[in-house]
Amino acid sequence: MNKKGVVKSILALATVVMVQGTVGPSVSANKLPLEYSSHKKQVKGGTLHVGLASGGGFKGIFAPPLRIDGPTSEVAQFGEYSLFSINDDYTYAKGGLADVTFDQKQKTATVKIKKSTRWSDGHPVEAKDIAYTYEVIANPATNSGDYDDRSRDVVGMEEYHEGKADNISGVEVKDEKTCVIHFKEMKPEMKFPGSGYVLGEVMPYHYLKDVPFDKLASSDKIQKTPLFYGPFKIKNMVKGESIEWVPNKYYGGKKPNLSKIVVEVVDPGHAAAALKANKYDVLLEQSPSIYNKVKKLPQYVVLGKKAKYYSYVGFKVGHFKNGVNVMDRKTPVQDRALRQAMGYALNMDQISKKFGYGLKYRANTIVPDAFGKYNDHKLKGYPLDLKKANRLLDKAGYKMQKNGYRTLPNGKPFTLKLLAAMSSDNAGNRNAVEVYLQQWKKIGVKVELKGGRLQEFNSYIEQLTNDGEGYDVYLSNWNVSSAPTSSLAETYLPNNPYNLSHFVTKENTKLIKSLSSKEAFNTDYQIKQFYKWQAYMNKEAYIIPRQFQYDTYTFSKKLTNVTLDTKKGATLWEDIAFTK
Amino acid sequence: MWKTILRRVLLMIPELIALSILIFLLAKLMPGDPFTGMVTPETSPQAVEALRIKAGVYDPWYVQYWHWVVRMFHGDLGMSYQFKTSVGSLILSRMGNTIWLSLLTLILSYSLSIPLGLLAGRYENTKLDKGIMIYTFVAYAIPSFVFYMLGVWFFGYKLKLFPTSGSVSVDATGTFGYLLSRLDHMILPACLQAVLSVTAVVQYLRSEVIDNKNQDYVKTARAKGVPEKTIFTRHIFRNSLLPIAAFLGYSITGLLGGSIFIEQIFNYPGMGLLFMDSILNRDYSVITALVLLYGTLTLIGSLLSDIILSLVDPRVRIG
Repeated sequence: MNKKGVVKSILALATVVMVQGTVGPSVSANKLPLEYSSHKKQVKGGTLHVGLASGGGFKGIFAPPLRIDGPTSEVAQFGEYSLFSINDDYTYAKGGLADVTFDQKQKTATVKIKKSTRWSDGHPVEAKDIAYTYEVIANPATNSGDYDDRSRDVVGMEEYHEGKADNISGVEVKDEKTCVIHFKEMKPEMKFPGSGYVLGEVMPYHYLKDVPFDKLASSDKIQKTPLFYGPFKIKNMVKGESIEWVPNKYYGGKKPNLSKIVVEVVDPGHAAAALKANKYDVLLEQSPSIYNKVKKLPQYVVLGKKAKYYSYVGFKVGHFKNGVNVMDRKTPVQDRALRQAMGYALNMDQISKKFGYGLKYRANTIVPDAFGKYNDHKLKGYPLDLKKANRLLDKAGYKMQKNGYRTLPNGKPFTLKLLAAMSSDNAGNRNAVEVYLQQWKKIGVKVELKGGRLQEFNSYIEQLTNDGEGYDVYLSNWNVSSAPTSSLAETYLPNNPYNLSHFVTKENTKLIKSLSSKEAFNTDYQIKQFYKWQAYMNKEAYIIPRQFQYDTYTFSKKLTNVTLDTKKGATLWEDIAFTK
Repeated sequence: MWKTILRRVLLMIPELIALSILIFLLAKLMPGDPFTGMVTPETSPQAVEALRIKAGVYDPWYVQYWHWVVRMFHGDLGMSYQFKTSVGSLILSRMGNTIWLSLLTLILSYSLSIPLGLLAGRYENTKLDKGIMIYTFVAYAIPSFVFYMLGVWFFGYKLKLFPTSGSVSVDATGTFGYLLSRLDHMILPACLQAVLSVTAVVQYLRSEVIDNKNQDYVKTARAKGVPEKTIFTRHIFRNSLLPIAAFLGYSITGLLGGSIFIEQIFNYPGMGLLFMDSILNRDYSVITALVLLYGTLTLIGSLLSDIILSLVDPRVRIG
């Protein structure tokens, strides 16, 4: 649905992987290989040619808090590393470029940067860099999109944003390498680097201090000659097209095996042809249709990892009024039986197989199973069951007419309108939507596309987020970027404008709040509450889960030490090597 | 003539004002805004809303228009929301790429179409003429993006003769190496574009040549014993060039427009790609600046065409 979400989730690919052991029987284990190692001997050096399939070039803003485009994050991943290592269950691990410890009583996080962590100009990464990055986020002149509820949880952030303070009182530079961050309130999800409370990517204060905040994003120091503390640094760049990365000799981790990485943007239309011609050793980010064309190429291996993504069918039952969602819309989909029946009518297994080329599969809840144990694998969700769907409708009084459509329980005929967007994989998308309409027809529910067509992306988003009228059902999806935190569920709170169905119940609010309550610091309790919430969401059926999917990268078989696994994957670009 | 030119230039001012208002209104009518793409479960809606208010998205259009005009007269076309850089420098950085590619395309296109048009006209209704006609019809009918894709696949990936993406190689060294790499990256897209863009010129030239063949001056030349070749290359050719000359003004301004298809397929960062990118991302400041630029170019193009025509054909006078 969004670019930044996509960016983050794909970025996470290199650093995060699900916990294999915790996945239960009904939710499938990772079907695609996660790792590839060649039996041939690895060699030092070599130039890695990397392709990024993208319809436009990268914008080239090499500062995560200031960036809004996805491709830049992709091409920057060789230098933009996280300061922290990560465990299999997504929590902080020791042994990164910096370590963090939390103090529940003091409500603080203490970040200790390793001595060996340096910028690519040789200057050490310092505590001041962390403080500076918080200032960049909070300063209104930078227009950072990262200034959100979480960053406001840092003491003094709001005062600084409003110009009442010269610095952020809650970010304390203790010594050159130690930074203490004070929070207003501790949250259970702080233990995950992905939650974003403690910044994992920082900006170089010594290098940028002379650049005014309002000129930061457009400055040459960010756009042309940025510094990195990851294994590679930029040697040459043709903006929007390609970047030549060479090893950063000041990198605090292992010395990279490669002597050069050249990353280049390639039009998705000929990405598969480029691989067939052996033009690239790695292809980042690929749509299911590209995957379908490259998966059988003998010289490549496609690695895949479950994405933090879910798609769903939503029912618009209300409006967003004066900052709160109210369920005040007169629509047949206020009836739970109708919503459930429409869920059971969908043949998501077949649709996934046909249009997802094996990269998509039916979702059982709206918590992506990429989150491992946080997804309640015992829940079945909405598998195809036309009999059950018909039974539900019969029982609720929707009478079948001779024309094959049902009437409302009050005897009136009805037609539902569906809002759906065009996508980059348009043909597949359109066909899938046609199948949905046919499936609903099979149970006698007449659903038509709003305006008779799929909507242009911006127009679609505008209608969804600005409370557009004229539709009862919508198709949508979310990329959930962070770790399994309450933010996934908080979208469905009464005061959240992104609660696009506008459904609000006391029970739902209570369950969501419990996910970030004090008790939820206990992971077992939090998971239990997550299960309760998923079961509740499935039962109420305001949001019917459709699909989860895989993120895939394609690697040449000339390479070795290739992995998307959590720990190993975090250091992918220094480990990866050519073979003899 | 100078008076006329001045009058035409002055007339452009109200035309441009009307155009700019129209563009501004239309851009605002498009659903979505530069922040629409920022919707994620993690982005705080309030933060996005604050950005919207700051960017003036909610101001009435005439207020936004006025701010824009005032800034423009200070040489400031605004900031691109996407590229976080000034629109002026963004467009300038893309313009060079587009001009070079278009210039090469134009040269190739004319050097292909003029001989073809002349030959088709001279050997009317022969197999050669028919062959050329079939080629021009096919070139006209074939969807350009399909042809470009085939070209990339065949020359780029199959034969590996040319680079398939970008405007210059990232590791090109030295001025000469850099220029060579630029040229190398332009040849394939320019050739593919040129091959498709011959139809109009060939057809015009052909029918002009056929018309001129039976003119009195040609008969006179023949009667005087001027060799046939000279008649075609000197007498008929010069007279047949008139409509082509009229095209030239538009072609020159077209140099700056760029081609969305070719730039997208080759990921060649020119004006066409920038235009499409800015529309998809609702980068208003870039859209308005570009459309206004295109509008101005069209007006100048039509004036140029008139001037060129009057220069090559003294019988035509503008006024």
